[in-house]
Amino acid sequence: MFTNLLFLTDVVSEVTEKAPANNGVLIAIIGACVAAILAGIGSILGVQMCGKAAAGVTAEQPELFGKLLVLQILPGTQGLYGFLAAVLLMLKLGLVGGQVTELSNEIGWAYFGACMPIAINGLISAWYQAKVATSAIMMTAKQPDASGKGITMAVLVETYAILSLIVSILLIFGI
Amino acid sequence: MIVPMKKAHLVVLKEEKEKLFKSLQRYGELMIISEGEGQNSTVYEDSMLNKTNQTIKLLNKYRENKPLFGDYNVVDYSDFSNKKDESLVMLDEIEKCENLINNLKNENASLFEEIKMYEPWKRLEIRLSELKKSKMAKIHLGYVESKYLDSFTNLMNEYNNICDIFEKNRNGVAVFFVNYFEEDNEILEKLKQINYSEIVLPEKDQFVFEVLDELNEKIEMNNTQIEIKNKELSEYSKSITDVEILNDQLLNDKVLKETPYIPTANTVYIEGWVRSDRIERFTESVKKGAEVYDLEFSDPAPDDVVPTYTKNNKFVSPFESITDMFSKPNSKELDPNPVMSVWYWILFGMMMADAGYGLLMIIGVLVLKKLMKPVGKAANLYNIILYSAIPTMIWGVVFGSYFGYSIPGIPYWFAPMNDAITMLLVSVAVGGLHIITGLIVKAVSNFRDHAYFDILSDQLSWILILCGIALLFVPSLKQVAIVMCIVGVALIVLLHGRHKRGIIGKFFSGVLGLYDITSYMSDLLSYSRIMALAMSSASVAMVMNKLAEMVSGGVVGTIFSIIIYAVGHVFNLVLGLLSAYVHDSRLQYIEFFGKFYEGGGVDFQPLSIKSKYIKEIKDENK
Repeated sequence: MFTNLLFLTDVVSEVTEKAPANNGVLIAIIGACVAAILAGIGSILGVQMCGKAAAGVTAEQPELFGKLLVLQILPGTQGLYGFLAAVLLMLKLGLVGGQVTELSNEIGWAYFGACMPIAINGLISAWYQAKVATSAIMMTAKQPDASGKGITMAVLVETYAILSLIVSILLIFGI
Repeated sequence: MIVPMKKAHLVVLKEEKEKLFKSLQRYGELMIISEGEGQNSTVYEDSMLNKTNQTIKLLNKYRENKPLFGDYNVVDYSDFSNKKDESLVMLDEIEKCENLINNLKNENASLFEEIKMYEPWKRLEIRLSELKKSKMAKIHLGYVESKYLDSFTNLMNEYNNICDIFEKNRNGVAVFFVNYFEEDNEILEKLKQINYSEIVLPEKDQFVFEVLDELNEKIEMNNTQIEIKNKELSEYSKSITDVEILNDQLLNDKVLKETPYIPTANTVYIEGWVRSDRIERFTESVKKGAEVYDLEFSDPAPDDVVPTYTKNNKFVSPFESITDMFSKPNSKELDPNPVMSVWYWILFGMMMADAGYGLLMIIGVLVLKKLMKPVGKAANLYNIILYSAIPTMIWGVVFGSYFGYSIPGIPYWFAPMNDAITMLLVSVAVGGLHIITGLIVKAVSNFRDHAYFDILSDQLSWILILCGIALLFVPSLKQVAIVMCIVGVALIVLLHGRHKRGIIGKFFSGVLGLYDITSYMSDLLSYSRIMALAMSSASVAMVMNKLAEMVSGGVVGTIFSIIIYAVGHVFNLVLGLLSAYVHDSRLQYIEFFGKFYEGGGVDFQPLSIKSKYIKEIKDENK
C-alpha cells in the first residue's frame, strides 16, 4: 500500500550511483528541501510568536479570539510558499507522478538557486511579519475595531515574500 | 450610496424627556451630538450590570444541555421595555444562594483545619477538660520530631513517666506524657533540646473522638445544605434568559442615562443627525415620545462633521464591512462600496479558484448560518464568503479545477499549475483593470468637482499608458499602443506641473510626474499574489489528492484515503479562505483605494437598543 512512497529514495539512490557530473536531480532536491525547510522555520517561529501574544490577550478578552486568530496565522503563509516552490520543483523534475530525467550538475545548481529567494526571504519575512502582527495583536487588544488596519500593516511585509516566490516559480518553470 | 444627513433640532418639555429618549432609542434614527451637560450618574446600572454578568457566568456553570452555539434569544419589545420585578428578585435570590454556598464552603474549610488539629490525639482516653485537673502531675500534649522519638522515650523511661505515642503527621509525632510537678520544668528543659513543641487543645468536657465526630457531623450537614443550594441554582439556571434580558435592559437604561442633552429651565434641547430618507420615521418617533415638541431640520454646515451611512443593495452591503475596516467613507465622497464589492468578489474567486471548494463554501456557510444564526457584523462575513463562493466556482471551471482534479471532457482555459507564466500575466492584467477602475472612479469624482485638468493629467494619462503597455503585447495593435503611451506621457509632462510657477518649474514637475510609473509598476506586480495564492491552494489540493491516491487500495487504504481527502481539503479550504480574505482586502486597501479613496468618515451611530445577550427584539408597532 505504501510502496509508492518509497520511490523518492529509489530516485536518490539511483542518482547517487551515477557519475558525479549527473548529480543535478540530487542538488535540485536539496534546493526544494531547503525552500520548504527555511520558509517553514520562518512560519513556525512567526506563528508561535504571534500565538503567544494572542493567547495572552485571549485570557483577558476571549471574545477577540476570532480576530486574533487571523492575525496569528498571517506569518503562516510563508511556509506554504516554500512548500509550493518545493512541490513545483518536484513536478518539474518528475518526482511526483512522472518520469525522472537525468540532469547535469549545472542545471541542478540552477534549480537550487531558483529555490533560494523564497527559502531565505520566506524565513526572514515571516519573522518580521510576526513582529508587526504581534504589535497588531496588542493594538487589537486595546481597540478591537482596528484589527483590519493591523492586518493590512502585517500583510504589507508579506509582499516581499510573494515577490520572492514569483521569482522562484518563474525560475523553476524557466530553467 | 452615501445617504445625505439632516441636522435635527428638537425641543421638548422636561417632563417628557425620559419618554422621548425611550421612543428615540426604540426607533434608532437619531444620532445625538449635543454636548453632554445633562448626563445622569449610572452608578446603579453599573453595579447591577456587574451583578447580572457575574450571575450569568455562575448560572452557565450550572446549566445542563447548553446549546453548542449559544442561545438565540428573541424578545418582544413590550416585554423588553418593562423590567420584571421577578427578575430582580431572582437576581437577589441567586446571589444569596451563592453567598451561602461560599460561606458554607469556608466554614467547612475551617472545620477541616480543626479536625486536623484534634486528629492525632484521637485515642486519648481522658476528657479534654480533665487534662488540667490532675493534682500531682501535669499532663502534656505535643509534637516531637520523628528522628528524636527515641531520645524522647528514653527520657520518659529515665523519669519513669507515663507516656503514649500517637500518630505521625507533618508536624512530627504526637505524644502524650505526664510529669510530676516537681520534675516538670527539668523535663521540659531537656525536651527543648529535642525540639519538642507543646500543643494546647481547647478545654471541652468531651473525649477527642467525640469532638471529632461532632465536627464531621457538622461538615456533613453543611455538605447537604450545599447540595440543596446547588440544586436550587441549577433550577435557577433554567431561567438564565430572564437574567440575560435583565442585563440588556440595564445596558439600555445606562445608554439612555448617558445620552447627552442641553437642559433649560423647563425644556430639554437635543441636536443630532438624521438620515434624510428616514425623516418621516424619525418624526413619528418624536410624536410617540412627546406630546409637545418643536422640531426643525437644517442642512449640514460646511464645517460640520457629518456622519456617514452607506446604503446599498443586498449584494453590496456585506462588503461595506471590508471598507469600514480600512476607513469609513467620508460624507463628501462617492461611496466606494458598489465598485469595490464587485472587484472583491472577482479577486476572491481568482485566489480560491476551485469549483469544488466553491461548492463546499456554499454548503459550509449555509450549515453554519443555520446553526449559529449570526446577526450584525458576523453575518456580513458569512455573506461575503457565501457570495464569493460563486466566482470561486466560476474561476474553478475556467481553470479546470475540481477539488484539485481536472474532469476530462469539460473544456477549460488553462491550469495555473501547468502554466505559471500565463497565470502571472492574467493576474497582472486583471490587476491592471482593477487599477484602471480605481482611476475611473477618481475621474468621475473629479468630474463632479469640475477638476477637468486633474482628470487629464492624473487619470486619463495613466489609463492610456497602462492600456498602451498592455496592447504592446498584441502585435497587430503595436502602432495604436505606442500612440496611446505617447499621448499619456505627453499629458503628464504638459499638465502635471500646471500648479507650478514658471515654465521651467512646470516642465520639471511634469517630468517628475512620470516617476509615478514606479508606483504603478509595483502596484501591478502586487497582483501577482493572485497567482501565488491560486497556485499554493491548487498545489496543496494536488498533494492531498496524490497522498490519498498513494494509500488507497483495500478496505483500510480506502478509509485512510477518505480521511486524507476530507481533512486535507478542509484544511486547504480554511487556509485558502483566510489568505484570500486577507490578501483580497489588501489589494483593495492599498492598490485600489490608493487611487481614489479618501475615507476618514465618522460612523453613523444612532441612539438605539444595544444588546449583549438578546439576538432579536420583535417590535410590531414600530
